[in-house]
Amino acid sequence: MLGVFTLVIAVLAVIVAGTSAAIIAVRVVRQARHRRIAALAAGPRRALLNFVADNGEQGGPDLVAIPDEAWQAAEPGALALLGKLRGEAHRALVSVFLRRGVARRALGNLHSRSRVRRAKAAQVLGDLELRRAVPELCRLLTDRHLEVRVVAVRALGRIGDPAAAWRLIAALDRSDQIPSLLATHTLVQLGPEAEVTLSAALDHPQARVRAVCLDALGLLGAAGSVHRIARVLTEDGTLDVRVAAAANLGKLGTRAGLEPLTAVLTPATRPTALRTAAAKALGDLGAPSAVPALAALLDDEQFWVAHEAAHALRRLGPAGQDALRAVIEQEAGRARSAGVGAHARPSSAAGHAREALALAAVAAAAHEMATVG
Amino acid sequence: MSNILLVEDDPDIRHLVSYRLTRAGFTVTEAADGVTALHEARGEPPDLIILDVRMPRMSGLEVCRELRAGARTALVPIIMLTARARQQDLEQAYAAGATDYVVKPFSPRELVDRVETVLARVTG
Amino acid sequence: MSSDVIREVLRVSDWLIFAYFVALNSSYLVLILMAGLEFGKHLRRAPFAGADDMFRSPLTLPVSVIVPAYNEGAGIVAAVQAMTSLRYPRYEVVVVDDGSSDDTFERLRAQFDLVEVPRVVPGEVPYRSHVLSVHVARGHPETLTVVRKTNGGKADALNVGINLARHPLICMVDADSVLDPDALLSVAKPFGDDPLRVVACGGVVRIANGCKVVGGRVVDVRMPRQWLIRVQVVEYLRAFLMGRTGWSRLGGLVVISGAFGIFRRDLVVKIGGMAHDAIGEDAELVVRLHHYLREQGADYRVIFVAEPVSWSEAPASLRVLGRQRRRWHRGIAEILGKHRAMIGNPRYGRIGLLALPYYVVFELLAPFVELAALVLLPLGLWVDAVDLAFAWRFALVAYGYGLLISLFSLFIEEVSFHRYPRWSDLLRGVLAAIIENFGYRQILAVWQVSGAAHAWQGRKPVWGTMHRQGFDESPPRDSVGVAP
Repeated sequence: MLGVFTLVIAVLAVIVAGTSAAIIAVRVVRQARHRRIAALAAGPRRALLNFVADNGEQGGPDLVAIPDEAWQAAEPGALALLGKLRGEAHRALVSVFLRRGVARRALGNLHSRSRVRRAKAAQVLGDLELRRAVPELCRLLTDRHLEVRVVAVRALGRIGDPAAAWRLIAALDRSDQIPSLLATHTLVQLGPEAEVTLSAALDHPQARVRAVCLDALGLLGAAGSVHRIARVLTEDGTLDVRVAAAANLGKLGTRAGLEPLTAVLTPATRPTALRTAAAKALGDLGAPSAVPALAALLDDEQFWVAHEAAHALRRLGPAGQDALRAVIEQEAGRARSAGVGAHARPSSAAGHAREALALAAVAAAAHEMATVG
Repeated sequence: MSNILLVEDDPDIRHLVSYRLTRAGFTVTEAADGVTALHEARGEPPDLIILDVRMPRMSGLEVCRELRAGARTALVPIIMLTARARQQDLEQAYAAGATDYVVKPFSPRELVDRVETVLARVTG
Repeated sequence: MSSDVIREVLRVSDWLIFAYFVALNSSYLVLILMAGLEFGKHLRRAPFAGADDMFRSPLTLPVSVIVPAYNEGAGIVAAVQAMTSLRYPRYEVVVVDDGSSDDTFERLRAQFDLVEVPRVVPGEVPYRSHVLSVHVARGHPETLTVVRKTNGGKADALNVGINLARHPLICMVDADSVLDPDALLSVAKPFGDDPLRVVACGGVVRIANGCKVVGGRVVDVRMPRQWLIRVQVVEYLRAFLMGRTGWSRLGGLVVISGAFGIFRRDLVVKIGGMAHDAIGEDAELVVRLHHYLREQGADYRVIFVAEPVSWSEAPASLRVLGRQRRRWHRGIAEILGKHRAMIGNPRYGRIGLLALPYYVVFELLAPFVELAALVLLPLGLWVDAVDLAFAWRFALVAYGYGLLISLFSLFIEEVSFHRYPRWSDLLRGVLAAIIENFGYRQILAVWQVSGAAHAWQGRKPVWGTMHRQGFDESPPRDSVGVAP
C-alpha cells in the first residue's frame, strides 16, 4: 500500500514539475514567436501602408516580391486594415491581395473539408469585397455547418451584390437557422435593387422569412412597397409578422401607412403587441392627423399601449403635445371638481402624459445644447 | 507649412494618415492616446487636430472637450474620426466641440482633402 | 474490542475522504479540460467571429445595463463614466440608488447634469420599496437614467432597474466593477449568434487588486501585492474561469456572477425577477430560469463567455474575506434547499441530473469533508488506525492533486489568454497555487461550513461594508498639463 502511494506521489511530482515547466515554456515560445513575427512583418507592413497611403501609385511590384514568410506574418494586420479603409486606398490594398493570390487561395479553401478553413476563407473574401466570389458564397449558404453559413451571409452583405438576395431568402427557409437580424442586416446591405425581390418574398409561406423581408424593406426605406406592407399588416396570419409590418410602416414614414396603422389600434381586443407596435409606428410616421386616435389610447388598460401612445404623441409636434397637456388638465379639472386637490393620485393616463411631456422638454433642451455648442 | 496633430490609437492607421499628410506637405505630430494628445496640444498648439473618437484611457470626446476648455487650444479646428455616423453620434461630436467629422472606414485621400478644406475655411 | 471498531471506522473514513478528494479534483480536471477545449475553439474562430460587424450593425439588440448602487460615493462617477463609454452600438445605463446615505446621487447629479422626469414605473416585476424619483442625463436622456428609491437591498434595486429598463436585454453589473471596453459586446454576442436559444450569458470576473486602473479601465494587469489576494486570483482562475467555462460547454451552467451577467428581459420578467429572500440572488435567478425553461420544455442555452471581462476588487483582509465566503456558501445552501425538487430529477435534464447533484456533493459538502479530513486524519493517527508514513503520503496525494489542478488552470490560462505579462507575476501565480492547497483551502472550509450552518439555522444575513482600498489609480486627469 505504501509503495502505491509513493509511486503516485512520484507521478504527481513529475506532472507538477512538468506542468510548471510547460507554463514557462509556453510563455517563452509565445514571446519568441511574437518577436519573430513582428520583426518579419515590420518591413512589409511599412511598405504596405506607404503603398496604400499613396493610393497604390507606387511600390506595387515590391509588394508582390515580398517573400511568402514575411507576407504571412504581415497578412493578418493587412486584412484588419481592409475594414478600416474606403475608396482608392481600399482598392489599392485589395489589388495587393489579389496579386499575391490571396483571393485564389480563399476561393479554393471554400471547398476545404475543414469548416474553420471554409469560414476563414469566406471571411477573407468578404473583407476583400470580391464580387466574383458571390456565386461561391451563395453556395456556402447551404453549408452543413451553421457557423460557415453565418460567415457566408456576412460576407455577402459586405460585398453588397443584390443578385444574392433571392439565394439568401431561400436559405432562410431551414430548420437550423441563420439569426434573423444578421439576415436582415445583410439584405439591407444589398441595397435598393434588392427591394423587388424582398417585396415578392412577402408572400413566402414561412413567417420568419416574411418578417425578415419586412424589416429589411423598412430599413431600406422602400416606400414603393408601402401598400404591400399595409396588406400584410391587415391580412397576414401570424402575429409576429403583423407586428413587424406595423413597425416598418412607421419606419417608411409615408402617409399611406397612416390609415392601416390607425385601424389596428382599436378595438382593444386586438393583441397588445400589435397595438403597441402600431402606436409606436404612428409616432415614427409623424402625421399629426393620428393625434386623436392616439389620445384615445392614453387611458388604455395595457401599460405599454398607453406608454407608446404617449410617447408617439410627444413626437407628433405641437398637436400631439397639446393633446397630452389636455389630458393632464382634464385630470386636474376632475380632481378639482371632486374636491380632492393636490393630493389626488394621478390616473395612469395623466402619468404617461406627464412623462412624455417631461421627456419632450429634456430632448428639446438637449437638441438646443447640441446645435448651439 | 501647417502643423497637424494626429491622435489615433491604431498604429497602422496612424502611420498611413501621417504618411499621406506628410506627402501632402504638412508636418505631422502623432499621439497614440488622449493624455499624450493633450500634452502635445497644450505645449505647442497645432493648426489642426485629427482626433479618433474611440480610444483607450481617454475617449476622443473627452479630449475634444478638454481642448475646447483650454485657452490656447479652444480655437484649433478639430476633425473627428468616428466609426458610427448616426444622428446622435454626430450630435455628440459637435456638442463636444468638433469642427468636422470623417466616418470610418475612410478614404485617406478624402481625409486629406477635408483637412485642406477646413484649414482653408479657417484661415480664409 | 470497541477500540478495534473505532480504529476500523476511522480507517474507512480516512479512505472515504481520500476517495472524495480524488473524485473532486478529477471532476475539476474534466472541467478544466472542457474549458481548454472551449477556449481553443473560441480562439480559432476569432478571425471570423464577426464582432466588428455586430458593432456596426444597426440591428444589434440594444442592452439596458443595470447598476445597483448603495453608498458607492467615492467610485460611482468613474464607474458610470466608464460604463457609458463601452464599445456597443446601442445601450442605456440605469443606475439604481438604493437609498444611499452618502453623496452617491449628488455626485452623479453634478457630473451628468441629471434632470428629474416623472416616469411611470411599470410594475412588471414586483419590488418592495418606494421609487422616490427618476432622473435622466440632460445631454443624452436616452443613455443614462438614475433612479432614487428607498433602501430595499440589492435584489430589490435590480428589480426596479429591470422595470425601468427599456431594452430587450438586461445586463446586471456591480457598481464597483471595472469593465473592459468590449465586455458588453462579448457578452451580448451569443444572443446575436443564437437568438432563439440563448437566454442568459455570464462573463468572467477577474481580480482588479494590483492592476493599474485609469479612467475606469484596467490598463495594466498585475498580480496583487498581498498573498491572500494572490491566492484568490488563482482560485478565481480555477473555479470561475475554468470551472464555469467547462460547465457552460457541458450545458450545465447554474451560476452567473451578479457582478457581470446578461439576460433576456422578457424571461426575467416572466419568472418574477430577482428573489428577495435569497442571499445569492444572482445564482438563484439562473436556477429558477432553468426550472422555468425546463418545465416549458424549451430548447435553451445558458452560456459563459471567457473574455473580455469585468474586474472586481477582492477582499484584502481575512475578516472581510470570511464574511464574503460565508455569505457565498450560505447562498449555495439556500438555493439548493429552495430548489431541492430539481436535484436528481430527470425532468430537469442535465441541470437536475448532473449540475445540481454535483453542486451538492462537490461544492456544498466539500468544506465539510475538508474539515473532516483535518480532524479524522490526526485522530486516525493518534489511535493507530493509520500510521504516520501512510498519513503524510495520503495528505500529499490528496492536496498534491489539488495543486496539480491549480497548475493546470494556470497552464491553460497561459496558453489562451495570458493576461499577466510579467514573469514575476507568473512565478507568484505558481507559488499562490501551492499556498491555495496548503493553507487557504482549509481556512476557507471553516468559513464555508459556518455559512451553510447559518443557512440551515435560518439566521439573519449580515452583509457588512467592504472598506474599499481603491485601485492603483494614476493621478487624476486634471493634473495632466497645466492650463495656460
